[in-house]
Amino acid sequence: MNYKKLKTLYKKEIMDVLRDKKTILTMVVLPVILYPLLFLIVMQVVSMISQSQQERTYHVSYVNVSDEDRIALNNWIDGEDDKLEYSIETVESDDPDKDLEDENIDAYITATVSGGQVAYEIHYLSAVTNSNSVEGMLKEEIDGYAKHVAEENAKTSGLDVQAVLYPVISKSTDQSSSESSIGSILGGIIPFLMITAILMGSMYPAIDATAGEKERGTLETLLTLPIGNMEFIMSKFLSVATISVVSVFINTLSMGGVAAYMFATIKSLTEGAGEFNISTFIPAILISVVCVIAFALFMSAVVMCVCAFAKSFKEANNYVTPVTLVVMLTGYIGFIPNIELTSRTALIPVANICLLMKALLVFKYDFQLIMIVLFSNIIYAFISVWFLSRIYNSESILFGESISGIKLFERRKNIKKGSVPSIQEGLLILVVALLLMVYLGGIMSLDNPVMGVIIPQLFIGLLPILAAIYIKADMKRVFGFKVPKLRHLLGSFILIIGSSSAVLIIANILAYLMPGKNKVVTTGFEDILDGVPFVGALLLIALAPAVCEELMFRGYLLTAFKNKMRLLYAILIVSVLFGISHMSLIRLLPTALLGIALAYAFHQSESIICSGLMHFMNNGFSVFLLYYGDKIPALNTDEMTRPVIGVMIGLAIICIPVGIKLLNKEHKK
Amino acid sequence: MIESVGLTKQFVRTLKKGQKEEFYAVDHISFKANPGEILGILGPNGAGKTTLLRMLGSLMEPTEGHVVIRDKGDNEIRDKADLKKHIGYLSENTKLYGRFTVRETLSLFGELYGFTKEEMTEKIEKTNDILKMEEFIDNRVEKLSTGQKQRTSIARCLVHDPDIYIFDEPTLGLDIISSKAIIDFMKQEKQRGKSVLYSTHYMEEAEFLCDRIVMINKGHVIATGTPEELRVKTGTGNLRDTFFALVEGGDEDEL
Repeated sequence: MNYKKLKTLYKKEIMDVLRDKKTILTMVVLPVILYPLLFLIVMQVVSMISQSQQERTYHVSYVNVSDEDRIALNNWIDGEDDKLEYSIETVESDDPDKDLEDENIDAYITATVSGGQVAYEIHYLSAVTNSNSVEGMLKEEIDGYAKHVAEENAKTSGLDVQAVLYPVISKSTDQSSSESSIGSILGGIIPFLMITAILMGSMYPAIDATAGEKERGTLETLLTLPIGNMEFIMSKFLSVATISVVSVFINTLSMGGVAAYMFATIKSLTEGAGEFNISTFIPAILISVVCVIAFALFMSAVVMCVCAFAKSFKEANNYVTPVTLVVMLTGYIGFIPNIELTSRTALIPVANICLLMKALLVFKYDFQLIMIVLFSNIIYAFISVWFLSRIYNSESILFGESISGIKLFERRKNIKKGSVPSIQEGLLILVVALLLMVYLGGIMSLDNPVMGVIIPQLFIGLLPILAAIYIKADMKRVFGFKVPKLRHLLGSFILIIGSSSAVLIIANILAYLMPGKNKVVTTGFEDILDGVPFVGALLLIALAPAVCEELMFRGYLLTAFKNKMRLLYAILIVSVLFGISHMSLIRLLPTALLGIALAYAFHQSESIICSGLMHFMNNGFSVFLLYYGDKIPALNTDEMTRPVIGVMIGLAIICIPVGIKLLNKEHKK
Repeated sequence: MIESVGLTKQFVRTLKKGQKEEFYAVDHISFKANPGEILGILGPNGAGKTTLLRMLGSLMEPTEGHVVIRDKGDNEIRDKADLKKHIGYLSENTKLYGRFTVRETLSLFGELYGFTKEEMTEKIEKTNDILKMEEFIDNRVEKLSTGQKQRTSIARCLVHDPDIYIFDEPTLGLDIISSKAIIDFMKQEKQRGKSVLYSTHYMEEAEFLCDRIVMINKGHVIATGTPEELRVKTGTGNLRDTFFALVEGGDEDEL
């Protein structure tokens, strides 16, 4: 690489972008003006509401309360050294329920006397803000009054007040510093805003440097120069990354300034509470900065990769939308309470940076995890840049027509009938379904683990169908909605016996190689299925995936990939995606292998019934083993006994070729 | 001197129903453009002119064949990175950066061709004298008139004083004054002993401008020679008729 040329080109790119008004607007003007404005407005509104709540005079009626009690309580409420600005006024009411309903009074109090005890009851409406507020105030007052009366009574009886009334008391002390409680409040919002800022900061320059250059017709001019591909790409990449980092800093400064102002205001209002020191945040901020820069490099390269396919600004915007969607959805991870930075989550792009910032804000410095986040982001950045260089090496992208993109964002009436889903669409739908699965599935399974399985499956099945309907796809062709030939059905039946056996053998070898987990087949099922009858389990674990996952992977995704690349690659990629989607490292390879068999059957038979049957049989067998496995003596050991292994190898060797032969298209006469 | 040695470019096009088909946009084309000569590449739209010229200008990699370029001293340039320094490339697709001034554009390109700042200042002055750009040299390109943009484009491709010029339909869509500027420029560079490669589908323009003509159709050379030779060979009165005579003849050959 020629560094002098790189420098010249870099300078040119930066200058070009900076002279674009749009960039300046999104980069500088927006954060500097928008954040303070937004925060100030919110502050104003909040303080106005809370003031009106505090300064108000609340109307309260007493019903069935003896005069003596009423006066005593009233005196207590009025007389107590009220720091608070609210006042409570007693009003007469003939029909307290109606008055409360009409909001003539905010609450009314009734009393029941039994023996030496007076029980006050506060009647209020929790749905009405004022009534709800006064309830809290009254409760506090009455409790205070009760304590006062008890102490007085004890005193007049000549008892030791502390020993009789409060022989045991409890008190809690929050040991977390106020900095870390502030940090935990900000743990969701700050990473999210940061990621959005990086994304927005890299988006315009990325589009400008890629699609913009093509649209303005300067790309070919640039190519006439004696510059290498590397200088060309790196200059673009570095300039986009620079601008994205700079925009992050501007955003952070603006946000930080506003936050500091906010805290200062709160501090002056509530003295003593919320003492904290900005300087304690400095290490966290410094580590964040390094990781954020790595992340910005990665994000810039990703956005550029996507935009490189576009020929115009508008088209690039269309391509970037799904990326934005996915990144922002992932950015919400900081808001989910129980997800933390672990050695596993530290590897998930986007999520890792959110969780890292969240952890740093409550002063959790795990050096090892920080390094994982930093290096994984650097590696992702390298991979994305490599992809970018591959894309820019392709003449069809530099000179050719734009490739067919994402029709989902076009108006439906502009879409031609019989469209085939594109690869980008396929990936988008998959990622959205997986995200929904993680978020919704996670929330659902808290209440009901069974729903936690079934709802995500519904998304996996439903999303591709909706997407296909939107683009007016030929549903029969995309999803293979057709009755298969008997021979193909038989072939699928035989093929799955063979491939399930083969996959089981491989899974057990893997389990053997990875100590600690030797039950691979049923991993994850047991907890969910606790108390579910066999038929229910069969529906849940075998039928639902056999329908929904087949619609997604063999129907939608395979058709999308098959349309654009060679069949072999399409099957391999979709099967790997199928494996990854099961989100378990140990099940990745077995699931992917199974995916190949399913994809082959789907492709040959052109019917989802074939692959659905296979999927059902495979999963159904696992469920069967789980419920009745211990009744079959041969299987009733942790280690597979030799004859069983022998039979399975035999099944694999015989059934796979026979199944393939029956499914083979060329064979038909 | 620039020579095309069996240049070939294969593309894949997608037919209806998602089937793919390979085809030759340029199919084994060989010719040579000598110093002090304007060589016209003629053919209808889709004949493969642009692809051919892109390969000659090292913008595209040929599927087969290669390009030979010799400098003034008749030494072959073998270093790939150096090839582009000897070529000035201008087409309707080589637009300028709108947000830069003319001066910035020229010094940017000059720097990337490897000149120092001092050399560039001198070269910009010289180019300015030749093309009379004084009044708009410090204006942003996006603010210029079409004619001024055209002159800036010419300045951009002569700033490094190349030995070879490649013009791909340079006069397409231009008014007479702008296209005259280009044509005059080509003639002048020819006088200075440069090789000029020039593609067009305006037959009349080519007829009076070109020393020799390579006619191509569907990626094949269908005829080479001076305009005079081609007319005589086909017994036609002008290049337009010559072209039709050749294309129809060619089609018959294919059948």
